[in-house]
Amino acid sequence: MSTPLLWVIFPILIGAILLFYTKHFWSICLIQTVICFLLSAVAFLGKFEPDGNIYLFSVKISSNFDFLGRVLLLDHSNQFTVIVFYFFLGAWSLSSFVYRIKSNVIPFGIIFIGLLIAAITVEPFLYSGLIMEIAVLISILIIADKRAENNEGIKNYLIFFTIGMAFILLSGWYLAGGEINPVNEEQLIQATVILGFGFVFWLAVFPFHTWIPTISSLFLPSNSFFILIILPIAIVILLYKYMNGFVWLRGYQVVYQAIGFLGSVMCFTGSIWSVFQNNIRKFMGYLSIYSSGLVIVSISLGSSEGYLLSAYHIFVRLINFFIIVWSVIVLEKNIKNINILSFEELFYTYPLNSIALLVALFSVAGIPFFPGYPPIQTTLFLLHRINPAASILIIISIAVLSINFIRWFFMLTRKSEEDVYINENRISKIFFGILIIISLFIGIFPNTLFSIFRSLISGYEFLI
Amino acid sequence: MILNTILIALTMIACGLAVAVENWRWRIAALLIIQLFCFILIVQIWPIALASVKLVSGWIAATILGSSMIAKNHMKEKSGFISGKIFKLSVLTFGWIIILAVIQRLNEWLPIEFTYLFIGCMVLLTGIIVSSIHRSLFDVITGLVIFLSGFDVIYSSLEGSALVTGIYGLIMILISLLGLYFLGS
Repeated sequence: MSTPLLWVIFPILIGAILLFYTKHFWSICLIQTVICFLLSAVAFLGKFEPDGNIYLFSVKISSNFDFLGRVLLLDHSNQFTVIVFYFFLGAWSLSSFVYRIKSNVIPFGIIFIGLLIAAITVEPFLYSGLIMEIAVLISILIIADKRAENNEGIKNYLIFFTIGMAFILLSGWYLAGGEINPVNEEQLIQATVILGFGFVFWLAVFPFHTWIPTISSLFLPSNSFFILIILPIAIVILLYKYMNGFVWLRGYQVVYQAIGFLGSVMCFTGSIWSVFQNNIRKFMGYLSIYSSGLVIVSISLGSSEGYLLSAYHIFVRLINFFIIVWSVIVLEKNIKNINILSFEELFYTYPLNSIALLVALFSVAGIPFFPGYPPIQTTLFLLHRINPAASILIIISIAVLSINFIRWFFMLTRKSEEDVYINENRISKIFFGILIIISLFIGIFPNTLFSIFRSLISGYEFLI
Repeated sequence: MILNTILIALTMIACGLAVAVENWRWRIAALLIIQLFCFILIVQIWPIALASVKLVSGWIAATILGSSMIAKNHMKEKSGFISGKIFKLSVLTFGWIIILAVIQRLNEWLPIEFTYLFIGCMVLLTGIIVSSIHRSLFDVITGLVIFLSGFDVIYSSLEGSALVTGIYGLIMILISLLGLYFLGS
């Protein structure tokens, strides 16, 4: 028994088996939900010691899984990643079940998460690019609808990720070379450029971001946004792994400058474009680019605070986008042809749904007393010392988003003279009520849950 | 040396064919030829058993792509304008000129034999052009497979892992299967 067997191989096999029973969709939805929460709980309760010993309910298990001479190594550094990924998938599957929304995340999601964890845990890391590409190919089955007339975004997604994989493979070869021989300044620049291109393609940095708004607008949010939320997080964790593994890479200042530039460009372009959208799905797509940018920018601080902040941004991203996406999914289910202009009076017809949406949006913009405020404020404070230009770009982005969301607030609460009635059912009230309470609790008492999320990065001993 | 020069010339013709033709059968044929040339290059530095894996997986990918077009009943021929073909070939030629201009500098970054780097870059660029110039999913997937074949020539000269070869071949086949999934529906 080993940890990769439990959290990589077993879920992939379960996903493959569930594929044969898609006719009983709600049953496999429930099975996936239970398995994901169980895997997450077992990872949470397991004792992952830094020396590599792992105990599950006092039974010692191995952290290695040998496969054709290569190793999947799932130790304490990846424990929290496993918890977060499976918990998020469990919550997504449960939401699908509660709202009776058929999603391709069931059962492909569990295979996808298994592959992502395999990409993060594989040694030598050279293989992570290849496994990530397989995960991307699986994700296309989640996102796309084969009956759709237009698969435009899928093509760009596939092209950019395949080109990105080529760069990551080349950078892997460079980095592996650097492990054997000392690297000079020129080789450092070459490795940084190649690695940088790989991550630019993978993280959808401007101008390679076009697939995100296209995919988000053309396909169901319950399918596409699961990938758009989780995939950049997996890529960032891969970046942590690279930075942790190579002293000459994390000690090279140009790397941080490049990351800072890319991150601030993502924040700026994502926020500016999101403001001009009437299509709610496209708006969410651009907002996800902005959110990824914040994670990247905090890494560019080049200090342990920066890495911690990036983990906090990941936490905020997960909770905010979960609320935003499910708010929109539920609204789309109830209101036909929804767009941002049709949000008027929503507060009176779907009160908790619209409050949840506003809370999450305010959090994205970093407004005080919402979860996004502490990490955004600290990132700006630290960033202004080392890179004032990037901090100004982000301040502009936040200002633009804040003004836009305040406009939304007025739009949602505007009331016509006609009588309106609450259309929200009890399930929605409970669902969004819980999410609002959690979100506000995190915003008002940030230390409680943020401190738990510190574990996402604490396993990378050279980053902290 | 002579073999390599002939290979470069023949690969150029195959790349031109892949970019310019409109008929899917011809494009598949170009893909098969390109992969054969890539195999001839790789077999000079790798054991034949391992190099064959690349050829076989590439040809399987091409076969799947072809069958996806048959499944969709795309029997109608497309001819296309001659000006379009000239434009595509001009773009490809321009790309080759750029490759020729930067190849020495690139060789400092990737220390492999000139023939491998040049053919690899040429095929890789052809793949990008095929993917980006055409709009249909079939052409995009074909372009990606060509791109992967080109990158394979470069990467095989740097890294000789059998497992990487296996997973790489699997990715090529999976991409084609994805094409079959969408095109065959």
